Amino acid sequence: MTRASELTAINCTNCGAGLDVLGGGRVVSHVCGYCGSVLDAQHDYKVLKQFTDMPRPTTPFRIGMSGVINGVEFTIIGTLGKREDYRGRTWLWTDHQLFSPTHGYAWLTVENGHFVFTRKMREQPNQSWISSDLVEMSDYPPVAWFKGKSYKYFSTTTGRTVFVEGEFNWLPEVGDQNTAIALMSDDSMLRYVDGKTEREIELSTYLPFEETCTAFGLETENFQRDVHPLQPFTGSGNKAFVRKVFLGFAAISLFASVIFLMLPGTLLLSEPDIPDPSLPRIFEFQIENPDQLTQISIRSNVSNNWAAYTLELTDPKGETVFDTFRQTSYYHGREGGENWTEGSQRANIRFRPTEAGTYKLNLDREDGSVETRISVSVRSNITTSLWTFLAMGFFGIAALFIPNGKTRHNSKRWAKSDWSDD
Amino acid sequence: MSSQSLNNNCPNCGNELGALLVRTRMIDCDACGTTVFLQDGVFKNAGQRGEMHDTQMLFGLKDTVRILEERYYIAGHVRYSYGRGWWDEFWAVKGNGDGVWLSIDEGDVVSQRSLPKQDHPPEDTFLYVGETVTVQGQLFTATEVSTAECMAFRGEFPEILHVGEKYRFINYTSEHGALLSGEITDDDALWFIGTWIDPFDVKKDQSH
Amino acid sequence: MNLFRIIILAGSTFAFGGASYLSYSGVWRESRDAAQSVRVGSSGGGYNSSGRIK
Repeated sequence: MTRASELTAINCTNCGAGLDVLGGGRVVSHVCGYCGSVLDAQHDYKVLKQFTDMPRPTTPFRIGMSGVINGVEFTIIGTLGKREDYRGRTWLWTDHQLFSPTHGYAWLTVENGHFVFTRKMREQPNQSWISSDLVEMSDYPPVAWFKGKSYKYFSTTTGRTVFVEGEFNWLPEVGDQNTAIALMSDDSMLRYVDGKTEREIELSTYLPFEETCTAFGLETENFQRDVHPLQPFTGSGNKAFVRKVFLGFAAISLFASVIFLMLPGTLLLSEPDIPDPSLPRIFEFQIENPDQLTQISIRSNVSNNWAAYTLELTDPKGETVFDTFRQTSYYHGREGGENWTEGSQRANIRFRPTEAGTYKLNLDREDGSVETRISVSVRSNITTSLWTFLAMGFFGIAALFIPNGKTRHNSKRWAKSDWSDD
Repeated sequence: MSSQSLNNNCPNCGNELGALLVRTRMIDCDACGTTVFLQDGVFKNAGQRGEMHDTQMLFGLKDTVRILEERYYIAGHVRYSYGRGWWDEFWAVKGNGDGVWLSIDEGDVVSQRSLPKQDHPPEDTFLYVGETVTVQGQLFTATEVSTAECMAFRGEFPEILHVGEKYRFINYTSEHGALLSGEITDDDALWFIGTWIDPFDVKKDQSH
Repeated sequence: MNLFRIIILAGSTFAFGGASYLSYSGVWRESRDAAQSVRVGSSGGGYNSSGRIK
């Protein structure tokens, strides 16, 4: 009911103090901020009762302030100080009754420096009511679905009114107690409030601090001390970015490792099927790109035996690059129903030539080696996946160690939930 | 917008009343403030339209509003007195000519459509708070019974209204949040059924 | 894109580029007995190329 008269101020019928009338036609009570008298707004402001020694709550807002919330101008018409005591701990918060001629009545809550906007919902969630008993008996956190969002049980609070001032569309009393079962989604809270006379369903959303202060003309330092359950994540996203970059580079490094593993190098010499008795023998090959890793491979046909070879390499100037030996030994068999092998028919030697030109490899068989047939090949531009593989490990592990700000923020939001699986 | 074609001039001052919506039975004349109603294709004088004080409203006459997925043209605006105050009702018409009544009272918005005669609660309904009736398979409980008086109206309406006319009204709520309202006069009873609308879900078309 | 992100992106690109260069060049994959530093039988160069050590 829209108020008919243009009543803008009254005098308290108890103490005579001037009081602004800011609320609409559904205001039923007006509590004088000077003497604590509760006046009946619908019956000539007669005194219903008086509250004294009420502790004034801490809030930057005052009755009469107006500001735009979610695109709608609301005026603060009342203030309630609330308190909850539980297991030796005390929580205090302030509820301001708001009024808009077009959008009706709502609440602005101030709690630990956070601002929350709450409205009574007329539409029903799929769970039309959740009681404390239901929460107690549930094995899983109760859930509800409302306006396209899912809500999960967060907490049960029992608030007591310790301070009242201003206009209300109901009759508040000091000592009033109500129990609210709160369920939370990503950005809003659905509350099943069991009050003195009626049950209500409320929806709460977080109001950004600076914007709200500006809207109401407040010049208040941000006095938030913790993460509010409804607070949205406002991190820069830098950490998430770094994680993504690192994971991306880990993937690229893995890809590069596979490529380097598969690159065969440039074939400079291939001599297949050389009989051992033809050794010693000199193989010549041309190095065009010095400083690239070059690999000499010997492959013998040894089977359950071994064969060793000496290799002496001389560079284009005739200087010895290395004079060493390699052994191929290959054993295989079957034991306990399983095949086994040991050793390899292949032996490699990798070196880094320092100049271009013709290199000579003098290959001979070591005494005692079994006679077999060998093949000799030389490849340059030999690559390794070692470094890109290490890079993959570095990027991957670094990504794991970067905390995900949003996940951490969400766990802080839910940290105050009183749900326990017991 | 569906409209009907008539020789529609004000019978009082001769002012052109413009194209009317399909279901319009009554309109007020912007020029002389007279209200006229349509009977057998002819406009007849229905008296004064009352004084409508300017107030802040969620939307006004001739606005186009979007409520969730539906668009409405606000064709008519009636203000009912409640004794200490008033509330507003709007005749909101959809593109196909069908309409709903949007009742607005300080942010409490209700959308209701006319309840078909066969679904009306029995005539011996007693009209007291706490009374229950079953309509269209839903159980409703009466939450409010009072008297209203038509204070003023503007625009077009699907029914005939008279300034100063009083009726008793009764509001029922169902378990699932549906709303049933009755407007009862000595010789007639109009029933409406609908739901609550979140005022934040009502968007006014800025192009108007 | 803020400076921090540019630095991260540039640093990661540099690290990956370096690793790719080392992999391409096959660094640290030389056989120990064929590496220049442990060259077997190298006589070295210069006037003292006879292999005698004074």
